[in-house]
Amino acid sequence: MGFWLGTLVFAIFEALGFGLVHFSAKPKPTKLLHHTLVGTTVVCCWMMWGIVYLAQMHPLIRPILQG
Amino acid sequence: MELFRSEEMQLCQLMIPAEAAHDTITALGEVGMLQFKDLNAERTAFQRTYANQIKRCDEMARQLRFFTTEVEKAGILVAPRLSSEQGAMDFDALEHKLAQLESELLELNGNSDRLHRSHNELLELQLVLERAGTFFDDARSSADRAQRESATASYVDSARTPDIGAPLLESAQAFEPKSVQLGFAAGTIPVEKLAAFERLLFRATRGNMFLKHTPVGSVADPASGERVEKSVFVVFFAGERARQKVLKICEAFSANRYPFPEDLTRQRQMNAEVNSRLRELHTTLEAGDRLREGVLQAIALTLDAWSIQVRREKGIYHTLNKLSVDVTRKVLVAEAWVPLAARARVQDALRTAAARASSAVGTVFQPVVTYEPPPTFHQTSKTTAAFQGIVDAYGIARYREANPGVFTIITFPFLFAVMFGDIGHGILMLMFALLLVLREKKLMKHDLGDILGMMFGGRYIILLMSIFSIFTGLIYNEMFSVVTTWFGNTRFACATDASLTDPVQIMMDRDSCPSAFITGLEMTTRGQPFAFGVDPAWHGTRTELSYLNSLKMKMSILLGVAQMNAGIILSYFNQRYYSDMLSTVCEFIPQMIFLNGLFGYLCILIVMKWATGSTADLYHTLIYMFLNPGDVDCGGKCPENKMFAGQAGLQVFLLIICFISVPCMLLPKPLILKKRHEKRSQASASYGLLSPDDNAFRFQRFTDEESVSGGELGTAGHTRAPAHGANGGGGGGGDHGHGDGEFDFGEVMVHQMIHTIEFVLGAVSNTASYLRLWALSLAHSQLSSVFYDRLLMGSIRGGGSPIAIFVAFFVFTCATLGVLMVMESLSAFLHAMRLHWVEFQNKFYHGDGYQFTPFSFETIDKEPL
Repeated sequence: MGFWLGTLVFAIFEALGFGLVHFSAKPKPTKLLHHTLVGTTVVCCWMMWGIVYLAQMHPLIRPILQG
Repeated sequence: MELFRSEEMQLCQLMIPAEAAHDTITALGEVGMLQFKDLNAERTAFQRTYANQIKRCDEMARQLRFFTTEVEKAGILVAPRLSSEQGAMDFDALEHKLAQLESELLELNGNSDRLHRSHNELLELQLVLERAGTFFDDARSSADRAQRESATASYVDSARTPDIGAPLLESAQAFEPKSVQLGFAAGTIPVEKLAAFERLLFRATRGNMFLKHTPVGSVADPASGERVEKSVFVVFFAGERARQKVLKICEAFSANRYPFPEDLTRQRQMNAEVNSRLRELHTTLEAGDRLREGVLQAIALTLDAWSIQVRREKGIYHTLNKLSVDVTRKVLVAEAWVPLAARARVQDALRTAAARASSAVGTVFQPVVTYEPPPTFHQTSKTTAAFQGIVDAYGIARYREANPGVFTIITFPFLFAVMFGDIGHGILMLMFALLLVLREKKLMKHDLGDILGMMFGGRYIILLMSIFSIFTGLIYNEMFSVVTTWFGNTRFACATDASLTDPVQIMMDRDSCPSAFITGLEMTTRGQPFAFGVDPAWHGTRTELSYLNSLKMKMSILLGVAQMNAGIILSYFNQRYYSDMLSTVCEFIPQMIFLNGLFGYLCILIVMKWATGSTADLYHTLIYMFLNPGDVDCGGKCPENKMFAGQAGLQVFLLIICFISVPCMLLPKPLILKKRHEKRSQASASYGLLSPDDNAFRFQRFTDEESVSGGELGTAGHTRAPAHGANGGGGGGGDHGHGDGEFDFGEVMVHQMIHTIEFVLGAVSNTASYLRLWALSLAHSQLSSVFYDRLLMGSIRGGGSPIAIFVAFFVFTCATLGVLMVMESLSAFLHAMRLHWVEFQNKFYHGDGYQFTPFSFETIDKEPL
């Protein structure tokens, strides 16, 4: 549940980035490049977040305090 | 397609009327979009048409360099070029002017040298007069004293004038009263030569000499103009032969002798003379220096403009030398690569150049069919240039092949940040990057030196690296290795008392929750972890390292498999672009199957294990997938390894298709290529042989015809076969050449075998190679926590004095900056670069193209003279 919510947040970021590039006054080839860059960024960040989130869902090791 | 693929290129032929050649090339240099082919490659530099002009340019460049050093020596600032018109003049006029200025400056330099020499000589003479005068005064007074003594002792002739030789001849006087007249020589000599000088004099005169000297400090040497520590000396000797010897020795030691009158009045007279001459010389020298400075200042005003003009002229003549000259028809023929997009600009420039040169006919500009691979030209901006540089440093892309630079812009800083994840270090780096980016315009003008210049060139890489580092720092939840709670409280609590969540509180009051030290904290609600990043509860626990290591290792594998998949997909885009269906079927599809059948499956298992909380041993699963296919749970001994129904069947299926895909990569492609070749050679045999030489021949004839019919400002290129289409097709051969010519089955087979083995072994080793992401990230976080804990907190915890804490803080800062910010970031940079060059690019990147280097004034202006 939380995972999909988080994914939605990243999707919103992608949509924002997409809109920002789409409505910018750049020539079309530059826009395409910028779309790719925004997309790659969001995918990378999402992957990183998703991996860390998923890995903590059911930890097999518990945090044992030192002492 | 900005940056995705290199610009489309066209080989064009230009027929330039000889009288307009210079103006035309100038105009094309302004446009800066043509790479001229050398049509006189067989000729040496001296045999070329414009060798003489280039020699003249070199001479002018030499003169300009001479002016630059003179201007710099005089401490005058060179004014930057303001406009293209400034100081612009005709080539010949400029040459004449430069030569004139050089001879003027040389004469001025010569005069001033001569004046300086005599000035220095006079200064030395003055010193000699002064110091040697004191010797004689001393000698005279001691002679007086001696005479007085001898007079009282032995009533010698009292009319005798005081003789300064008296003290020297003290012992001789007794038996041979004064038969030799003493001579002397005065001068200056460098202090370090003095000892040797004295020794030699002593030996040469067999001890019959007397040297008196006194150091006078550093004096400008008249001969060299340098300041040397010197001594004034006076040497006394007896007899004419000794005199000859002494003079020769003086010469040999380059001691400067000066005339020194014995007579006191003449001495004074000479001193006055020297003083007045010195004053005179001084004013002359000043006037000369003023004149010279005036000339240099005038030169400094236009020096930059001139040197740019000379550089450009040299570039123009170098380019003209690449053209083939048709002497009879007064036409120069050029062949140049032009980006398709820049053709309109080039044509405009040609038209205006023809008008400016008021030539009767314009330049003919038309495309040419060629089978040569065109150069690679990526149109980069100031932000993307550095990223493209990372790719280009590995190899220039083949013409029109998919450019990894597009993805590198994001994935490079991202992978860097995975290894360098720390909010604090990211912010430090961000500040540095912002400093460079925001002061860009100012910094651009300065020469920043090697290391800072390199960092300035990569300022946008550093900027992105720092931003991603802050992001991954947030994910790792580390700021200078200190945990943050910006994204809420921990999701862990004491196993016995769910209200106890703060680990620090539990540490303080150990009795409140003893189980936290034995079995650990427990998650309050399983399946709902900390929303963003690593839970702060892990920080500083005994199990932190083992937990984070497992997490980061798996993360490395997931990121790696994703990036490798992206690389293989890019190879598909290349194959589609070159319409190479064969490679798609025989390389792309089996590669995807092989990589994802093994490591894609591993990734799915990893995610599944996380999502379900299964305790399956993935190493075991993957190893026994090969060793004992069809048996997941070790025959019932390890039931936890079975993660879903039908896993055994799926694994057997994956194993089979992976094994099948290997021969699919290896065999069909070379066999089909062979078959195709045989078919083609059969088909062509029925029409008579057509070798690639025929193409060349046709091309030759084609151009010949054109140069006959050419000669008017053309409707260029429209009558031609679409040259760039031919180029695309030519390049489309890709791996297997153009289909023509020799087909060596053995070679193709070996090539394919290497390719297959490389991929299959690479799939394993490259996946393992991505573990460096984990290793470096671990090293970074451990180093920063050691610096923080041991250095900073250690001194505070130890109840240290403020001074100790201050020192510890200083050491901590140095370690953070030196070790983490410089060394660690450098190693993370290198590892990110390796992951891109090897693991990512070897999946699709050929990198065997050559760079488009147009003839452009913009680049010429930046070159040194």
